[in-house]
Amino acid sequence: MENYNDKRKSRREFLRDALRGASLVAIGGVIGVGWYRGHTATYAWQIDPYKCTTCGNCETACVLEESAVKCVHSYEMCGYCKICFGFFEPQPNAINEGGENQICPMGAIKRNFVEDPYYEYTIDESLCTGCAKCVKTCAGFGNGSLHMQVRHDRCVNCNNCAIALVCPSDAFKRVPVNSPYLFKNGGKA
Amino acid sequence: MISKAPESGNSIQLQKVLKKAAVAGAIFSLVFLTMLIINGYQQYVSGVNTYSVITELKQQLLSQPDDEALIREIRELDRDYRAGRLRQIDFSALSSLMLLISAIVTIGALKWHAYSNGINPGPCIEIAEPFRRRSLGQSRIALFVFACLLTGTWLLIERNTPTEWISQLNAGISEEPEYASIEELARNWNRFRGFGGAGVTPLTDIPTRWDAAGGKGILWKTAIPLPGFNSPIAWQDRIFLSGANEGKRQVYCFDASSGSILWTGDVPTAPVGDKKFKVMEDTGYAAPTMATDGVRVYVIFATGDLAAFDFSGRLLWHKSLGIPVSLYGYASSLEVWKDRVLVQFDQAGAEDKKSSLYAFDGATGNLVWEAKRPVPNSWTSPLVVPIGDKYQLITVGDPWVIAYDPEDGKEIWRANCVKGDVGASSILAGDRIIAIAPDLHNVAIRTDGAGDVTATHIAWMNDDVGPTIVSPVSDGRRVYFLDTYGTLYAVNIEDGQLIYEHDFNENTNASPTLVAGKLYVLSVEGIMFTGTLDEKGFNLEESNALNEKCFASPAFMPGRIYIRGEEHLYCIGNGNP
Amino acid sequence: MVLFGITLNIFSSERFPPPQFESGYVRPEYTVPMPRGGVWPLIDAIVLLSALGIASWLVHKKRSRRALFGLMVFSLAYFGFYRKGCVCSIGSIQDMSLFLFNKDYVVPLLTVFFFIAPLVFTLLFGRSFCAGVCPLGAVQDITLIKPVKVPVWLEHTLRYLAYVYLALAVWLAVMGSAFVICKYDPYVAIFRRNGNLDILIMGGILLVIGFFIGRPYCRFLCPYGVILRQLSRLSRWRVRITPTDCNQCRLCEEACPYGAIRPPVHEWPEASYANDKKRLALFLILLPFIIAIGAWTGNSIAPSVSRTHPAVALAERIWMEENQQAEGTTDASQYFRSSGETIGSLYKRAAVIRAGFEKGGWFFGGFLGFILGGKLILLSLRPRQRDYEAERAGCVSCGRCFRYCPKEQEKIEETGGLSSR
Repeated sequence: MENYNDKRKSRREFLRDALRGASLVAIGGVIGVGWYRGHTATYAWQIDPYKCTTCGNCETACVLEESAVKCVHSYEMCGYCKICFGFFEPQPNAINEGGENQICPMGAIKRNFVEDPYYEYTIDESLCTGCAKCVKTCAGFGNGSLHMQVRHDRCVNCNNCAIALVCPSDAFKRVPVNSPYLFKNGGKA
Repeated sequence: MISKAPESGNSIQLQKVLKKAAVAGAIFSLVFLTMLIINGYQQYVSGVNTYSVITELKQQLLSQPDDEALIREIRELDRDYRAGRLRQIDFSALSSLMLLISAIVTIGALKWHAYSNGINPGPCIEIAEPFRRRSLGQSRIALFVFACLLTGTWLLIERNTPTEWISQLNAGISEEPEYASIEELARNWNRFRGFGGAGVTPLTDIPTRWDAAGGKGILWKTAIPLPGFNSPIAWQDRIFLSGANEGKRQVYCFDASSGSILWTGDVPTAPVGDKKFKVMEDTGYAAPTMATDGVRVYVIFATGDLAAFDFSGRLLWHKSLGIPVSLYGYASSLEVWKDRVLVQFDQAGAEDKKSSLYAFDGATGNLVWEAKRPVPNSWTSPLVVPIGDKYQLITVGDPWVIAYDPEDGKEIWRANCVKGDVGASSILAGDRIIAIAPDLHNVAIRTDGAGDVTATHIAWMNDDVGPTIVSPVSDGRRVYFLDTYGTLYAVNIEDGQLIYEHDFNENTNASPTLVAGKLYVLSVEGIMFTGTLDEKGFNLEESNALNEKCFASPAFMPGRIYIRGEEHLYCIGNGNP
Repeated sequence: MVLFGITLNIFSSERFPPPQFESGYVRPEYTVPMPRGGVWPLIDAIVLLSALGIASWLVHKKRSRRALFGLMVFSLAYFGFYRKGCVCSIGSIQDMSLFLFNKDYVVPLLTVFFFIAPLVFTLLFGRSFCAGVCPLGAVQDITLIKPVKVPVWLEHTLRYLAYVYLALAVWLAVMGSAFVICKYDPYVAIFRRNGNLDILIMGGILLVIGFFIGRPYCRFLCPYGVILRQLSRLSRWRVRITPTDCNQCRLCEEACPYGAIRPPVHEWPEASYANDKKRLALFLILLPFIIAIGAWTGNSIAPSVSRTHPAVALAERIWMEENQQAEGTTDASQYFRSSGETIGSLYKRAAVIRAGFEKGGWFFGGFLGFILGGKLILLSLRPRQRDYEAERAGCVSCGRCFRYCPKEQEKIEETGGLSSR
């Protein structure tokens, strides 16, 4: 009986060894496929500003309470207008910084006089919620220099971006980690 | 060692403290949790409310713009809204941190408490064999019942999900392949040198004068992100072209009215090949011109990466044909036939037998047919032309001009009549194919032959000119050849005799276009010469400068010319967009 | 524009030309905060590898629960709170399945490493990953306060859920619908101290359950755990409760909060032998039928599962809009209508995806049928076990049982108490 059990045991051991070997080979195979395809790289999420429909999902769909998507400004494209469509309500009561005239619900866009008749518009990212309200009007009536981008100091780089899942226009894509921005001004910076 | 004496005073003291800590931690956790929930609720309800009130008041302000009180109210609310929102964010960050800390305290205290209690070896439960047997039996039943319940629920959900739309949707799908009709293709500029590839368009409202310096006549210009020598193609209100560098291959879709880039399509790269691959600067990574069948756009790069996008920029399929062995770099443009994309993939030497002509299904990218070609690397573009009531696919490679049936890739005729590194593409002029042997001669071949027609169907050969890059154009009476130094040669289509020459004194790479009888010649320096042609010579009417180098052939659409400069795409038009 | 009387400049695509400043104004620089790149992935990989190595050493050589606890706290802090729970081995299943089935999917190298390294370690040392490295395992192990035993039948039944979860996650990931493991990761919201309400609630509930039921996610849900269970059966070295020979003192019986310690079986009543054999034979014969029923079910539910895919959902939406079954438009349908894609092409695309779901459904259901049948067969085998042993598959190498063994205590005294209490 003892002998029989020992034999059984050694048979089991052998089977286990063989299966373990097979598993290791399978894992090696997966690595091999990866090697052969060469499709491994480090990627980050980014918004294609030309596809963005300014739907506002970025504000709410991010896994972070304060979205990783913020509005950025391509200064080279900006007309530095006195009356900025991204800053002012479509029919502003007066051309000043009063709350009743601003589009941004958070007052995140700062308007500074540069020289007549130009004004500079900068974005206070700590206030921006990524609602895209200013982007919509800037793209609709202005130069489209305001646009949405994933900010990588905030983005946790989820496996599958939660905003990408609900993006109506497939504007989210993976970009190489060493050039993680798709600025509108022809890919500068 | 197993059980720390629980009676010792210290230990009892510690346990009491730990218990208290745990209770306190738990209370704190609950408090912070409640605060978080309330805060979250407020954020949802009051924040949204305030914002909608502000929006309403702003609407009100439109009708009573001088109401100072209203303005003040909006400003106040607005300030409240902003401050409130920031406060909520700070508050939730703080309270979640506090919740975490108090939870750690609670759990830590509880753990320590349990730990300092020492081990009390539990009562030995008698697990007799019958009991073990019973538990196995129970497990089997429970598992089986669970699996059945799961399946049942799932199927029930499925049954109650409306699926009517699926069958309807399936019914709505036509099995007919989708592609534009010949008439539609002819109305657009769907490939290199337009539909038919002859560089001829009947459009009459094409602008003849513009001025880049003053911006006159230029509707828009847009920077092209990546370089390329390929020419723009156009379909209705969209213009497509491609650009590439060592690492990226991209397709750009421009909006005809505003010039903005509607989408950028990335063609996945096979990084393995990149390291070994070097391209000649004069050819670049994106020399082949794209093509569209009206439903999809097709693109190929010097790396042999072929891809199809739909008009919304979705990558439909892509495949790597392998990096072609090409002396100057692969440059043959694409052609379409019905819903297929045709690729003339000539490479290496003739003896290597690596050259092929492919037809891929546009929707799926599946190979429809392949024809092996007895030629070395070439730089000409394939061309489908109507011959009688059928179509022929004309290809030029040293030394054969071969016509295939685009339907199945069967060879129709071949003529041994060109030589060298062929680059200028062939055209159909009248009922003849004009092909060019660079720096040697040009030749006209009649298309009604079969088999080897070298001896029988060559109409004439003219050795006055053999352009290396620029393709010819014909008005049915004469064939016009333009060499890269800017000399135009008019050759009689009947007998191949040189009639006259005209020197533009400008280097040219772009192929000329005949627009309703007017010749458009674009020089490398960006000067567009326009003028009429008659029996005696070329009559220059206008020369328009663009101040940017131009290598690609322009695309002509109603009222518009699209010119690809080195860095910008220009839209030249008569009126406002 | 008309409102303000600004004339349209047609020279460029920009409506208002960027000004040339005369006051010497310089346009601000962009800030381009970079994602974690460079050496960071390498550091993550090194931390993972070291943690795996240390965990295995602690389990097999040092046999110290206290040190393991310390490692757990570290892993929770690093992979959980510092790295915010992403990248993680559990979620990497989805990346890997998408990678294997979709030749265009670009998978981060680090993700591949996070998928493979724990598998290799498990083949060698058992589930030391679960013990000391996985932040989800750590949070559950640490918060276990008053363990309650789960009845054997319930344990077996609930564990089936993990297989369903794995199969579903792979199915949806391969089809490109969603990464459900990440979407419904109950603890990630705790790591981020941030997240959607539903996930926070789910995480909270699971956390509280975990006070009493040891590692509920690991045992009953974790899809990666399902893979590790199988590999752990084949491990080269196994976790031993006793450092020497078992003297059957039964002291460790109560030690395991995860139900992984099984008492030895000495005599199985001969009387039931014939019956057991018959049952086993029956299940063996039934196996193909169970697989077939499963596959059929999987295929039948495919249409409704396919709606998780955005393209299919969009096609349905467009169809409803076209047939006056839906009011208005959605953002996605609006975008679609301006994109230039034809409705026929969308329908075709959706149909292809749905066909893919139906094909996947066969495998999904077939796999679950196979698991059910296989489990029924395993539950009909006679246990052969002569010592108190940790079950190879179920043991997460947490090290709780070591100190329960009197032999271990003897050994510690001999070596001068270097090891844990």
